[in-house]
Amino acid sequence: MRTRQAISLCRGALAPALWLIAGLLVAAPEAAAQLAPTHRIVARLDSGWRPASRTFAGTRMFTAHQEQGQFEADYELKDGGVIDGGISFRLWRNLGIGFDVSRFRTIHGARIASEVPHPFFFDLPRRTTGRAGGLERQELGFHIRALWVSQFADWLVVSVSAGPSIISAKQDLVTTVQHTEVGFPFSDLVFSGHTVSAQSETTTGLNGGVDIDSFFLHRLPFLRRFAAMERIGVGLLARYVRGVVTLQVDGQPIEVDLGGLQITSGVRFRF
Amino acid sequence: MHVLNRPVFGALALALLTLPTSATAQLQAPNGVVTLAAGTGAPIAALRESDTLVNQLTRDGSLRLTAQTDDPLAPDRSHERLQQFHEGVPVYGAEVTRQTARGLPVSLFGTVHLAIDLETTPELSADDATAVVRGLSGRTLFRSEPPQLVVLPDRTNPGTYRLVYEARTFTGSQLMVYFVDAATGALVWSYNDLKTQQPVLPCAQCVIGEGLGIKSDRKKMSVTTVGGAFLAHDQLRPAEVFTFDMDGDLPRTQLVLNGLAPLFDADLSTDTDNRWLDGASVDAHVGMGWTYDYLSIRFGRQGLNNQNVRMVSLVHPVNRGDLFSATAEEIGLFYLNAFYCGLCGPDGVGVVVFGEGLPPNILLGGQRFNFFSGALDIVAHELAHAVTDFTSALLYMDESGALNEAFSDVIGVGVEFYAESLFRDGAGVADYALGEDVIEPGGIRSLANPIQFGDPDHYSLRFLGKDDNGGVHTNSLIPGHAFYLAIEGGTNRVSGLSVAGVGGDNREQIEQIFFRAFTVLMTRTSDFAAARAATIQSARDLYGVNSAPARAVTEAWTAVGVN
Repeated sequence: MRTRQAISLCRGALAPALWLIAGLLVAAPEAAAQLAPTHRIVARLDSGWRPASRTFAGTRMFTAHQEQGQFEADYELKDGGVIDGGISFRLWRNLGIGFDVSRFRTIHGARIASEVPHPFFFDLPRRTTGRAGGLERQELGFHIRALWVSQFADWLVVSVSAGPSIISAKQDLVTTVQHTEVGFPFSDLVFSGHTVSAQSETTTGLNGGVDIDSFFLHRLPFLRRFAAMERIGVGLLARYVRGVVTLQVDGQPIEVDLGGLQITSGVRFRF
Repeated sequence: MHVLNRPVFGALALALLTLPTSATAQLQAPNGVVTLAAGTGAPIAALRESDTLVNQLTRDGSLRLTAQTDDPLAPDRSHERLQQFHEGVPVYGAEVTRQTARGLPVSLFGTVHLAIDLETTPELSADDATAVVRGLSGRTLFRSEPPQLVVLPDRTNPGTYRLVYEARTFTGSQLMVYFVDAATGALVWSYNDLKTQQPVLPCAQCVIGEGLGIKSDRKKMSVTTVGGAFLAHDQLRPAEVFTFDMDGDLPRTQLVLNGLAPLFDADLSTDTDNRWLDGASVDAHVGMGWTYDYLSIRFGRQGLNNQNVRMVSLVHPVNRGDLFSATAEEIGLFYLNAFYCGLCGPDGVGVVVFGEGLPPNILLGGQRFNFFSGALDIVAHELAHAVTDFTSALLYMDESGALNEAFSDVIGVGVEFYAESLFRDGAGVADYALGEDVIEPGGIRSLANPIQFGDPDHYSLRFLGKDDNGGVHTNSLIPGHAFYLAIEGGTNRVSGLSVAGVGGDNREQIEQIFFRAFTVLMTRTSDFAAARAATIQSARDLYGVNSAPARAVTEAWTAVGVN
């Protein structure tokens, strides 16, 4: 179900980019033929959004009433804002290399299902459910991109890229759960709270994406007199990043998926 | 308001009952003693007549309400327990239980005396009676229970009465009940009220520990931590549970039982790391807790007195090493027995004492005797005596005494089956044998096959002697076997009559029927016939007149010869 939702969200995010490309190609006669890229360096600064595309779960064991209990936290990662920037260099013909930095942050929650040992009897756990809110996820990614740059007009540049990423993740994880006993016969108890600790880890991953840049500002009548406008444009980047990190809570590992599809847009500078 | 003075009313009531009218045809009053056994199995006229009589006696003040409870098993029912008084003095054993549904009577059981003609001003004072009892027992009386003036019906000559003082004292091996003539100081009657396992012989300090029972089976213990130590004091259950380790100090044990020495936290069974290894303490403490759970979950009862009175047990009352210097009486009580003493303990709320058993290399009758607390059915059996004391108070003598014992066996077996799923590490299986986990091999009694231990499985074989308070232990197997047959079914060995039991999966039905009958329908002097009537009434109340449980109970009593 979650996978289907994620795919749906990805499709939704890609749609504007594809429409933009199609529209530009149709609207601009000079874009019908591919030209050789004219600039060697492009710098960009974006902000955007990453749809919810990740869930992960962690199970923790604990000892209570002389017996082992456990809880599973099902983390529901929400969409969040992304700030993304970088610089790319065209090295030879259409080939280039790029270096990007992105930062993602979101606040999300988790559903917690616990099995708590009975105070009087072995093997008769009581089950509870609860929620943890206010959990923070931060990802700082450094992306190296191999680029294929296509220039369809002097104002329209499309690049396709892929490469490795280094992702540093910081994730709030539920470390303990608290319950309040209702009282005899102790067949029920109430989920009363949880504690959280922030865990950090760095891992490697992959990235791939499409960047559509449009340098049309100098064609606008009221900006034509500014020469610098020829170098300034706007762009839309659709990037998918994938990484996996194993976080530790009191020595118990939790595997966490990082990255996902992100859609950003911002300014472009070409030299 | 209609008022009659009591002697006049008693005479009128007696006259009414002796007239052979249709309205009074059901009640018989030989010598003025009326036994009420009116329920759904009796003609409606008998029920109305009994209810009318009870109402009249209540208005007159002869019957006074002593307890009123709602029925946790039958929501529309409530129960009254009424005690008869003669000129303000209670009549011993004269009680009535009345079950009502939305205010209308459903059943009445008990005994009332209508022809008491007795002056109730004693010639002896209570202090005089105390001195007499001290002379008889060699012991002082419980401070919590000074001698009480009662009218005592003559057991051998119905219709005659004596004004007596009733007094209790623990002699060190017996909980004696004395009846001293209030005029002459003569001993009129006495009996031993010590209920023994077998004849003759959300607080901050609460923590959960793990203990090993005598069979090295793991159990969780609800304990209290104080100053880094762990004490066998359960505060998690609504009724606090205390397990005291007497450390083999018999003289102190006896002082405690007599209420002459206090018990302190330091006397509680203790452990330093909450990994309890004293099996006798572990099994006593856990077994009492499980018994509380069973009473609560199965019957909705709040502990022994339905008001969550605390539960106290003593383990290690003697040292096994002192066996050869012990008297026969001490061996019989503190080594080879467990008992409930209703008035014992520092605050007189009752204490269970679990015998120490014998050294492993010593067999008795081919059986090895381990710590008595190691048998869950024995723990529950002894605590059930407290339930009886707080409810029907079945007289611990003859048939009522056998019923007292039978009820404890029923609860003992019931708790064992209830807790079977909680057993760990090969701690045994639930069955109808009593004490088989500590008296090996076999145990001491069998509800399934009483004759295995020489106990009667039919009323015709009942013990009629005077030993053991009239055979309270051996004769208990007659109702106990009826309980077994009502659940499991089968054919009685003597009568050849078959019973279609409700089956083990429905044991809860028979347990509830018996529990309800024994705790709210029966009275102090109920006999086997009254128990039959009460349990059938209970079955009909709970499950319907023609229900399978009602048929099973009826067939079971008939099969064991109780009609």
